[in-house]
Amino acid sequence: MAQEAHSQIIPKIDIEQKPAKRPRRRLPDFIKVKANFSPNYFRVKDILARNDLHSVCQEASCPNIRECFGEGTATFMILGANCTRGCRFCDVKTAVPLGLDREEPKRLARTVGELNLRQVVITSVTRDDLRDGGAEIFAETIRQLRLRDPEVKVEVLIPDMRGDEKSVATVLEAGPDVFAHNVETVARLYRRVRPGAQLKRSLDILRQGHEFHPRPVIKTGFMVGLGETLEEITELFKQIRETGTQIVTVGQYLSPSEDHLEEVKFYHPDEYKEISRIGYETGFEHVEAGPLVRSSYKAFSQSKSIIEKQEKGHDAESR
Amino acid sequence: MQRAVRIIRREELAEGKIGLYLERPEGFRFVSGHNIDVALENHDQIDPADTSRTFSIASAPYEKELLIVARLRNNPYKKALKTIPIGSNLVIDGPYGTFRMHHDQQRPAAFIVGGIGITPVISMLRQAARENLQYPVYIFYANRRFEDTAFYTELIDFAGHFDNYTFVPTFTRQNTSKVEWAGETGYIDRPMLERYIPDITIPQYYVVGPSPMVWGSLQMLDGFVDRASIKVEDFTGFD
Repeated sequence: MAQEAHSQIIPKIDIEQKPAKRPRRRLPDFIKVKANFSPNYFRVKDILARNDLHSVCQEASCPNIRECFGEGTATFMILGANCTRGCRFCDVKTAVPLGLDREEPKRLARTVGELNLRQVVITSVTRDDLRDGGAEIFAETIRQLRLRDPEVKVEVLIPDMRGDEKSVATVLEAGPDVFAHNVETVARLYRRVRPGAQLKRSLDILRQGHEFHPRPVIKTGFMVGLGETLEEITELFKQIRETGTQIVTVGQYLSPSEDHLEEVKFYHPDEYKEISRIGYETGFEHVEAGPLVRSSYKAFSQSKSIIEKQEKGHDAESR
Repeated sequence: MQRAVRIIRREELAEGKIGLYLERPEGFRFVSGHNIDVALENHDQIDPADTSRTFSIASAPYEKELLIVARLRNNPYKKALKTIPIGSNLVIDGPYGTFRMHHDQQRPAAFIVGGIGITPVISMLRQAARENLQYPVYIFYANRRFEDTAFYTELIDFAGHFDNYTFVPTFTRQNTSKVEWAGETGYIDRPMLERYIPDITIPQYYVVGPSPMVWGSLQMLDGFVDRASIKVEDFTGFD
């Protein structure tokens, strides 16, 4: 009876009420991507699914997915599809990771063979639940790839591994050709964009990569359009350059859904020319800046000449 | 979407923890478990490069006001939050997050909470109580001392709303407290869960609090439940 009275006075409220939707935004023409599904696109998708592998292209809703898959390439995302961080720009699912798949490195190496790739980019979700942040799986993946093809070029794009130097060293010791870690945004926006991360920690990771011997090519990337100023971009370039990083990618932030941060600005292609100019002026060997530039997009065209130059240097040193 | 909101009142909820009640903007909808960014802009004590923090919303979706709870720390942001005049505006952004209560009311909800991590749980319990949802509920709530424990009385009172409700406060540094305590002490571990939950393999677990506590608890839970039965909210960076 008491319960009946209770339910009469309390209106039923939908506990799953969704946050109000924000108005749909219209993308500028220079950002729109043509839907072009080539047979290769479906082939790559199929091969990844059959081998129970993830790509960041799919999980993070990359706008370049049709082009990259169409060319038979993909950026592999290891350590599962559930991320332990809730970055406000990223479309990868935040959830408790469902364990650790120790067979993934072998499967990935086999798949690279099936796709006939000579250059591979590997990234991962953040795994705060693992003591080493997933470093050993990164290292094992590199080893398995080299076991199948000693000449394969490998770029790793690692999460921050909570800044644990030992974990970062585990990845470096496996000998990636390109060692990348993205700073993502300027210092002021860190708390909003990457809760749980720190710019200093990310810069320290890049510095550790630069100081490692034999040194891989060091690369990072960040987004624009989140509310940063040109002065802040310039300052970020300086902070990155001080770590010894050689390559920087800069691309437009595109909000994956209404649950993510909104774009504050869409940069015009001409503005990327200015950003690129500032980057080169700061001293980087390569700056890739453009509306649809993503960290792994055409990754080896950015690093090819630098890798070759460094390989020659390493050879000379070892003689 | 960023919105300016007025501070309605401020309340000390425990030693070193203050609650700020904010005006809820028109049309601001959220779900229990959501968090918001709170920016203190144009405040003279604040470093312009460090103006915002993330807070879980402690009030329930049915309430008129938004409640956030801050653990006071020795940084300019938190100092300003402690002294900012009532009636001033803050800028909120959100809501964000994926920490949600499960649907099946037959399945018990077991919350493993550290300190200020109680805030999304308070929102979930208030909303569930309001809707008379009858989840069996277990709350394991760790704080350093009794004096640090926010929402203690309210958490006792939820027993009046839920038919099956167990609240287990535990203190990790109670020897430094002035309050006499005969209940649980120490960190939340498997034996503690087993003392209160008849079958520890059945509940949906929610782990929320500071990073080391969250990931340590996850390893503890790995011993007897699969990961699909665990939801976590890591309060890293909530300094």
